[in-house]
Amino acid sequence: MTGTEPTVGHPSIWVDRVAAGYRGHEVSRRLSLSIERGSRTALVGPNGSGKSTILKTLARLIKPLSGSVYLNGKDIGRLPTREVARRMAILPQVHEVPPELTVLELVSQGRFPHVGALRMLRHTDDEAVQEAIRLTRLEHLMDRPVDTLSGGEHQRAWMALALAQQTDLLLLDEPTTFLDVGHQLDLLGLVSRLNRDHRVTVVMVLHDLNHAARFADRMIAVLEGDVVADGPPTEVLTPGLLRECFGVEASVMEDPQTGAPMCIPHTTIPSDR
Amino acid sequence: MIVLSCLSVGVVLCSLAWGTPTLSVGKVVGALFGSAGVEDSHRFIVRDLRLPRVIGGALAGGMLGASGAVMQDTLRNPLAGPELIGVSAGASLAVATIVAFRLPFPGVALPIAALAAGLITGTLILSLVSLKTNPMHMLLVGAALTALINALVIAAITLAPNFGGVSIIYRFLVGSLSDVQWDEIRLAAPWAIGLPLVILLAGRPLNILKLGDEVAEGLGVGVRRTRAVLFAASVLLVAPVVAIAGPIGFIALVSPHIVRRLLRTSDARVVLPVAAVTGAVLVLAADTAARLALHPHEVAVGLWTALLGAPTLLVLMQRGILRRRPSA
Amino acid sequence: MTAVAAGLVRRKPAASPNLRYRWSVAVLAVLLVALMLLYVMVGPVLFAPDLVIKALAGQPEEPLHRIAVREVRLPRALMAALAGAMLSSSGAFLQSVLRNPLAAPATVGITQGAVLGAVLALVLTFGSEGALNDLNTLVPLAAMAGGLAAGGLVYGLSYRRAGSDPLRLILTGVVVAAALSAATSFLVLLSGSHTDSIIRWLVGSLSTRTWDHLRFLVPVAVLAVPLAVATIPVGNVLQLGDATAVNLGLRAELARAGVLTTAVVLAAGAVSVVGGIAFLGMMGPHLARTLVGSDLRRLVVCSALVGAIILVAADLMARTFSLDWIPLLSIETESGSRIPVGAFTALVGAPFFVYLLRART
Repeated sequence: MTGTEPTVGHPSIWVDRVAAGYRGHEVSRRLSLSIERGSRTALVGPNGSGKSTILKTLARLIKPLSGSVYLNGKDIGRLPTREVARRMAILPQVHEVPPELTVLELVSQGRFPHVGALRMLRHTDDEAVQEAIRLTRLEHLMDRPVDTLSGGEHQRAWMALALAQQTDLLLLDEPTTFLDVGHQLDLLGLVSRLNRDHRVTVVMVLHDLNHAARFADRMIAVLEGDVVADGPPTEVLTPGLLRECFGVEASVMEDPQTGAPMCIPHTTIPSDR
Repeated sequence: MIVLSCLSVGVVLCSLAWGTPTLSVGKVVGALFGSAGVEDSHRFIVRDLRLPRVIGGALAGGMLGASGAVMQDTLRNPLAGPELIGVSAGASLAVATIVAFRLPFPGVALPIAALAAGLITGTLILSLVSLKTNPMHMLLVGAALTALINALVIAAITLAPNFGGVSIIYRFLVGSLSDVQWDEIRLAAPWAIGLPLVILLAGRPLNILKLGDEVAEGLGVGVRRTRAVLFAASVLLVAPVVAIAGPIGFIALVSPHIVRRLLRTSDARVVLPVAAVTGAVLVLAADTAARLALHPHEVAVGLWTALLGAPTLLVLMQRGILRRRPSA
Repeated sequence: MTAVAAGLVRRKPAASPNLRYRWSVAVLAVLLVALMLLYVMVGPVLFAPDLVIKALAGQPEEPLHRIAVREVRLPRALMAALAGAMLSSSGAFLQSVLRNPLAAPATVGITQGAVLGAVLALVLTFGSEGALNDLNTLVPLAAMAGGLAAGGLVYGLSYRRAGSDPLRLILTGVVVAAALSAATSFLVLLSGSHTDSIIRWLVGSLSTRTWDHLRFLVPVAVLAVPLAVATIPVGNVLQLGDATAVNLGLRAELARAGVLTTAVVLAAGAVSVVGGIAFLGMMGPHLARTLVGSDLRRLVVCSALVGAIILVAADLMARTFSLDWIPLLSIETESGSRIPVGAFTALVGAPFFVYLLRART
């Protein structure tokens, strides 16, 4: 996708000693992370581990309690929010759609960061919208109201909105929740293609560990707001981590087709708590 | 409990004593029990002007308080109350139309008309709002419906052949006790029997309903029928009040909440009777204020309850009795 | 009728939204003009269309025609159209920004605030035998101030450290609305006179409106146009939820305040000359949405047209309808006691409201 300006040398996102969370409820204390350009990162962790909070902090949906998040080397809190929106798109977990809004109308809103409140849509904007709709294969549904779509189509429409933003960084918050297995693979495959063909940097929160191992080139395991493991899937997805992080006994083997590690959980370990 | 009964006796005495002229407690008691040495005018004031109003107010408050408690548990919605879901307004529209156009109805039938109209609006709103949706939704729908019915009440009264002035409008829009005399008490009295019946009989089924439909069904309670009967009972308690005093607001909504908060219980067998007493105390206090605060003007009691009730509702909402939203 | 038409159009997925939008606007505009012409023709004296056009052109056959058409009926028709458009488009903004189909100026307290302002002005000036002309500007001004203040109050009360949120805004609105209308009632009861004009304010009425009122309303409408143009794209983004709005580079809180301001100015302006008309602000946007969907650029234009049509039609009925027509009721009405237009919109609104909610569940 069209990058706005080349900013070589900086990582896409750099998290510098950030305390994330809400006032009175700190989720993460001193988090430091660096996301390289063109990488695919999956954040994994048990329920309530703070992975969504961390993603929302990266996306500036939550302000860090202390520390800073840098986007292409610039403090995200100091950048105009519309400029951030031209470089980074997020697919939130829950969506609100007004009744009768069509797919095309929804996806067109993705051009807002480029167009602003007062300028009309230009030809290039139309092209970006059409491209997003083509990538998500929604051409035949363009004029359908979004609230009449099925779960998979619905998620694709929102994905198209994020794609129409034409950013080189894409954040996804549990994008496969509520989708059946076919649609899950569809969506994650699309994310991989975007990464491969358009060099889009991807950070996603995923529940399914096997999906994370297969579709990401880096896994970050989060427990109680802290990073407990960070590296390629083969190093992160181990029986030891599954025990420590998720409290399950599991065996890990290699997927004969993709070569990615995959885990089969057997039993839970009774916790002391 | 003790505090509450002291409070209610106190309020009754105050509302009998205060006014023009203000009488001493001794004189009030004397007038009531017909002891010698009390001027006839005082006896008349106490017995024929103030006493019916006090009885009417206590009755109205008691029935409203109990009705609110039943409704909230039946619908499992802390924001339920006859005034918020349109039942009071609907009943009032019926009574207003009959009174304003002097339709040939016998006076005895007024509560019946109010009951029918209240049941119709109540059924209507329940058919519109599913019990499983957010309690806020019912509040919104009820508010819209009430606003609409009120516009119709105003239209009906202004169009009536002999428009009786503002006070009559307010009797039907917000509720007022100023027209309550012995005749009205006689009209409502037979219906008041419903109050102890509901208090005695409704507590246990309400407690079971609160556990959820599936559990209740498992315990052998026919949920749909029980709910319908209880809802009808709560409307039954409201109808005679509306017929004699109009749709006095916020008493039914607030009394059960006060009781639950003070007694720290939601056991319907306890909440019901105490909410009834609380409602009576609240109405009497508000009515006494209505008579005295802006003397010689008299402001309809329903206005006071609305002015005091609206902020209370705000506080209740902020205290989070309604936090049933998905967490972020 | 429009609802039926909408239903038919909706069944056909072939028509692209853009085409449908153009057709809707064209048909609605023609309908509005025709209704306004009818409005000017119909009255105690019936005028033929050519008479109306002559009178409008300033060459009446009788001077009386000129007065009836240009001084009485025309301003009232224009006012009905303009106020209806403003109320209805305000509802469109509110429904999208609060993400609630039940939002409307009257559910969040703007209407009640404006009515309180108007009644306050009326009550305070009763004693002084001020000229009617003064009242014609003073009362709308007070109402406008009341509506704006109510909007600010609701926003302020629902503001927390993290900002406002749609649900809290609308609930606070409902409660503030109840309190404000109680305060109005208080005033009415205490003043105890001139209740007739006050009641017309409460329910909403267009009788005795003149060019004076229109001269007040037009500047408000003109002010609202740039506000609307600036907030429509913002509102479009905001209706997708706060997270998406922030993601798209919008400062959600600022945007919400902006869109709400537009809605409040529109509604307060309209209520300040026609009173607390029920349901227009909820009904108009809904009908418009079935025609052209939820994209605010289309929805606002269409809501305005639908609102104008509804109010002109309702006032036409209110002006001509008389209770004597109902034979069974055989009651004597005072001459000239017409149904206020607000009662009409309420009558139409009730079944519509029920239909609307049924359709949603």
